[in-house]
Amino acid sequence: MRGEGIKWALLLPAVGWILTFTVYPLLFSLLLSFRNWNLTSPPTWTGFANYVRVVQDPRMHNALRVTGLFVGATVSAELLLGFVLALLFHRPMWGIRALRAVVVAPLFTSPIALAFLGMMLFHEEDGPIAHLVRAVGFGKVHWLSDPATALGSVVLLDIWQWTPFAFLVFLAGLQGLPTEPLEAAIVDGAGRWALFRHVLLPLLAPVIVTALLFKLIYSVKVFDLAFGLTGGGPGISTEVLALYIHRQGLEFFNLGYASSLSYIFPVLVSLTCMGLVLRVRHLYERL
Amino acid sequence: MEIPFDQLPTKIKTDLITRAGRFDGFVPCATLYGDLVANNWIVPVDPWIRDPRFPRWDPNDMGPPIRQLYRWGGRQYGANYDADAWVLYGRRDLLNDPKEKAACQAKYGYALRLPRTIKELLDVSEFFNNRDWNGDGRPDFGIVLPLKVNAQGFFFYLAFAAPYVVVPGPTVDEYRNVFFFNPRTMEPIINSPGHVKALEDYIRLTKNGPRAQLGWDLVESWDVFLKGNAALTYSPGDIGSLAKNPDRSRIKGKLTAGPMPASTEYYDRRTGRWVQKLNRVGNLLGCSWHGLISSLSRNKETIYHLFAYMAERPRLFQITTFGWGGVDPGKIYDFPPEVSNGQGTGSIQAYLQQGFDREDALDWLRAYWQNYYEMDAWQEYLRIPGAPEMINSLDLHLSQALVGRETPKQALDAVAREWTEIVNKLGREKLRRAYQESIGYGRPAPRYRPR
Repeated sequence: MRGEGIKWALLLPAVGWILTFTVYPLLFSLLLSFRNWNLTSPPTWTGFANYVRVVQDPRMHNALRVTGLFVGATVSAELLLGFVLALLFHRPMWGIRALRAVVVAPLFTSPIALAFLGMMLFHEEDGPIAHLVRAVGFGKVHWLSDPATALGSVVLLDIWQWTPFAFLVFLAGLQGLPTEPLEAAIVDGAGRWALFRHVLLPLLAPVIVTALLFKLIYSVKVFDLAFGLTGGGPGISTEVLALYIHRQGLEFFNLGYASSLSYIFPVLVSLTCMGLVLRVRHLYERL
Repeated sequence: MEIPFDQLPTKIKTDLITRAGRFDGFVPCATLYGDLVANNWIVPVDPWIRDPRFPRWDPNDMGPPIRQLYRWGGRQYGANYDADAWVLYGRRDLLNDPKEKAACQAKYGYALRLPRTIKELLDVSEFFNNRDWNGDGRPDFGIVLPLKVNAQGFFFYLAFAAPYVVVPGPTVDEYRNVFFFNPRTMEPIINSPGHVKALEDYIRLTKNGPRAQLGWDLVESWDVFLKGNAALTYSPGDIGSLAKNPDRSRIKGKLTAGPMPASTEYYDRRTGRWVQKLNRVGNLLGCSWHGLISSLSRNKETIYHLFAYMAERPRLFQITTFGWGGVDPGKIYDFPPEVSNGQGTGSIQAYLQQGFDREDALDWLRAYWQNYYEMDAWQEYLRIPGAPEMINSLDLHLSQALVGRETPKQALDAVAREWTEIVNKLGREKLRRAYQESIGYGRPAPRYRPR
């Protein structure tokens, strides 16, 4: 009995922490999402009005679309490039350690610093990329001033920063693979493609899913790159969901509406991740 | 603590709303006044102005148009500091070039000069756009403007649109001398025909500059002009002082300036008709940065001492003439007699000692004097509660219109809808009172003249 008491006493700080800093804010924001509150006057109960507004808000629809495009482009490109790089560096070669260190360096850049670096890189008149493009005989690319390309610029910066994450995860996965199934397949006469498709990919599937889920969750929450590089513009062409919520909550102090918008996140991420895991599990079982 | 422009209202309001009181004072954009005063977040400085314990400064040194931005409800809240307004800048050497003059005469049928009307602004910016007139092997620009969303781009539309919308008249009433709202009903007039035509022409104007400017902040557009790659720009006073800095400018001795161009017509909402008449409208656009004292401060007299110290005449004059610090001319002693019909008490020598070119400085100061004291009417300054949110809405839809995602009418209708929601949310009656107070509704229209 005394041991039981100590167990609960030791658990108490962790439970208290979670209740205070996770559960309470979550419940408070849920309650807030049914109210209107701008902090300067008492909150008023609005029922589901904020959620109705979420559904009807065209700027919210745009933010969802932009976030979807961003997530689709960055996650697929980063995983693909990361995988290719991991295959490339998963072999003995001279200076491999130094090369690996260089490849992962972008991961340690602060996103907001990267955004400012991007402003210089993508400067349409005097940026290094503009000079390079001119030098090879092409015209101007409107990196940040055209809605069609501005999101692409944000995506490119994210790819530059986060491909090393996928590279690291895949490299670790490759290095941890058992060699026997590969050797057995080679003995059985499997070609390169068959080896990759029917042996390597199934073995790496758990690693791929892990990398995919991590990056997916991170990409859905993206804020700093769009905030720093384009401010969400031109117009609202790069206004991602987190940036829109930030505006509503911390610039306009529409805390009730911002809370209801915030609940889109867990719903969106949970549904996507569940769908993804089910799909991958189905594929994995087929293999 | 320095905070980026678009984060400033958030930081200040969060500190005040949560009653954290981390800041004894702050230097916000004057657009925030409505929120700050309505919530008693700042304290007036009247009791200390004549207190001998503090450095002496005179609120009357600030010209009447600017001084009103430092006041609310008959009380003085800020100590003298910055004075912002948007004026037009051009390249004197280009505009006086005989070859260019002849070409302009041939193309447009009138002599080239710094544009005085919107039509001239559109023509001259088109005339100089997309050709290499500075001989660096790359096409140059007619005009540069910083149009990045969530920065200060909206000021540029406001400066341009003022003469299309503001109807001059002897009093401030429902139809005359107003720009943002109908002060009787608080219905937005931001989508009135005057605004829509202004935005259409504004979009035309932006085509006479680099496409990249849609992603540029203030400093980026200044750099292009200061490096000598644009014929025109309009902006706050910083260009005038930055032009003398050899590290940033290649246009020292080549700068001219004037007030914002007049429109040749304006829309009268009372009659529902366009009036074909030259309309020159002055503005106070920008932030007119100055220190305000937080009501949460435990060191109010200390922070006032700092602001009063900065506002002392010799120090503030030196800061203004020094330039580069972003403090623009607005005090009566900033203007030499030769640019102010003998009414300013300043001296051009002080500017020359700080490295200004004589002609550059005289044109620059004259432009400001004319903007403050010689216009037909005034564009009011939006500083009611909710102004930052309203400005954000305008800024965003302007950007949408500039990139072609909304037509001017669609963009301004959307702004009007969103402003109506903000008015309803914050309280129509409360905002109506604040707006009427801030524009002097029912009183004679401002005809500013220095003492």
